[in-house]
Amino acid sequence: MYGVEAISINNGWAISVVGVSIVFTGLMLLSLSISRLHKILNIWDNRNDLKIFRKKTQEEPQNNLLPFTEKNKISAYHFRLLIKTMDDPFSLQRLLYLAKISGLDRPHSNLCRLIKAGIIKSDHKGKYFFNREAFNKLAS
Amino acid sequence: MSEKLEILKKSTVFSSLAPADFKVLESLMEKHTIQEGETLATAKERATRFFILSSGTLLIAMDEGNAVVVDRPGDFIGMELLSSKGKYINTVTALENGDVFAIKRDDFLDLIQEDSLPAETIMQHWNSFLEEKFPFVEQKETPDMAYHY
Amino acid sequence: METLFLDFFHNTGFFLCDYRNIIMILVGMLFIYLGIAKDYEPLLLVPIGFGMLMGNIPVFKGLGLGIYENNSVLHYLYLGVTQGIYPPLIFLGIGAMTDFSTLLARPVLMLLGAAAQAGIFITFLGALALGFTPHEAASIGIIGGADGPTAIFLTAKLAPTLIGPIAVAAYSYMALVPVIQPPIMRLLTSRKERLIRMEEPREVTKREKMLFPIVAFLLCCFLAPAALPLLGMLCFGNLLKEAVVTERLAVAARTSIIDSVTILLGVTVGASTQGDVFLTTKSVGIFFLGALSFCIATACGLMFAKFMNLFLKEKINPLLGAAGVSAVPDSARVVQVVGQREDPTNFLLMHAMAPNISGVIGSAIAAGVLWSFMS
Repeated sequence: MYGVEAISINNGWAISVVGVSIVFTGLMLLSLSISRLHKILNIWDNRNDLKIFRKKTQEEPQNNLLPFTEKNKISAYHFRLLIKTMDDPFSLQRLLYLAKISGLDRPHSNLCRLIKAGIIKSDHKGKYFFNREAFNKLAS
Repeated sequence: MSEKLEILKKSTVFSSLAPADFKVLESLMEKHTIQEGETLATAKERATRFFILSSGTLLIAMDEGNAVVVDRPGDFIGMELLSSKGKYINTVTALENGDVFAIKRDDFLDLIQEDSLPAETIMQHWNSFLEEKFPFVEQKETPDMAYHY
Repeated sequence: METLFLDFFHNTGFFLCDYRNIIMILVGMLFIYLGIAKDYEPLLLVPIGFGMLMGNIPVFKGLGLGIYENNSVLHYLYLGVTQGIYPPLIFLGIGAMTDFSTLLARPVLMLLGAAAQAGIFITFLGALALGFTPHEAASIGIIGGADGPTAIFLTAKLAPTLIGPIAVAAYSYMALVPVIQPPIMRLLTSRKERLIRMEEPREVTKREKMLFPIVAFLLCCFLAPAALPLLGMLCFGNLLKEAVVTERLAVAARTSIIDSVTILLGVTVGASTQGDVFLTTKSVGIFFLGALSFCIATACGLMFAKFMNLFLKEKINPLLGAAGVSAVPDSARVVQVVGQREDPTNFLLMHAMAPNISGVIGSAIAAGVLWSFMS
């Protein structure tokens, strides 16, 4: 048997259509999942920043904080100026050193307050960055 | 429950120890009050004590400008002493007033050398603590086996 | 003494020789020539070519010498082909030497690899129309996947008697990729399209590369479990490569294991082309359909790339579609050569590797699908 008749009798049309569809579906699913892979890994790396995970690992920094006084706000502003002169992300110990030699008032506890308020945040790679949003909200 | 036991139970590193081990550890712990700006340990200096944070915030300054801030009661500082020839490798400074419990290095080494079970538990949990707090620090792997099969 | 001499003469190749053996020996010599002098897939064509010489020495039946005699050495070596053992081992090696970075950097190019597999199914229909049985038609169609191990694997499962012609056709066309594909590529694309430059791919992290073989294996094999032997070994080999700690195993897989298996596969496939078994009208049909399959697969990839460009903001160079046939890395190299003919500063090779590698995965899935349909 030859021609279209042979294809029809052997269910060729259906096999081809379903076959192509499966190959396409497989590779499309794979393509979709690997296109999200680096984003998923990124979320995993920054899981401490996600609320659902943060509760398990560390408490919300803002919760236990007293509101910023004028003195605290001035100190936060000075730290901000110092951070502007540094790399991004910056070294926390370097910031503390700069704060000390610049004669900032109580550099340790004021730095601690900024960290707890989330104004200075860890990049989880050993360095820190300035959180402008939190600064505007709490200390400006 | 004593304050010491409460801290040990909160600690990622020690919380899984047996009650008997808690008792031994409790007997080794000495409470110290810390002031903001006080340096608890200086890198490359002879190490004499480990610390368990009770309250306050500590800045652990590492090489290459890296740093970690610890502020959870039970956080443990100084385990690297086991592999750094008796010298601190980080500088630890208090960022605010608080309390720490110090354990003498030799006492602690005696404890984990006497009994391998708590040592294993402590090391396992120490690794989890490191992964959580110091994700950027490469952990020392077990030496390569020449043949695995 | 005269009788002894005559008996000996009757057992020699000169006496037993058939014109078909001569033809196949000449084909074998052509393969060796193409491999050595023209550098067309020498690692495949030289073993296959020499295998053809071995398989076409006329031997007295019953002495246990021919590949189709149950107790011959060649027969035992050939079991690796007929039982589908060699192809997964080759896939292990391919996995251990393939870098999936470009695929991970631009996963959308994977669809080009899928599109090129349409050639397999179109040829399957053509083979059915020409009177081949569904099993034979499926084995012939898979030639369009341009993947020797996959073609051999599926044929061993579905139509073992056709392994010789199908393997030879698949490897011949793979070797002839630089000859077959460029005219089709030029015919189906405009100069403007061939000049399209691709954006620099993003950097891919080690962890992504490590996770990829696991994700790809689970996803594809859950969808098409029959692809398990091929995709399983491909992904496993790749995991060995990316895991770093298993570097020693990865090195073994991509050097000694794949080399040994290629030698055994090539020689035995070549030896299976005994003139009396190989030179049939069916073989002619297989060669014709194989060429057709290859051309259709190339065209499908190209056309699909053009189709994708209708929707994409950043256009892709449609030449990449031709790399969807899995002949790794030759079809990607051809894309580079054809692209550079228009613009010598346009480097398409690394981009073409993405559809090229996805073609390998796609043809393995297609083989699994066809196998499960026919079982």
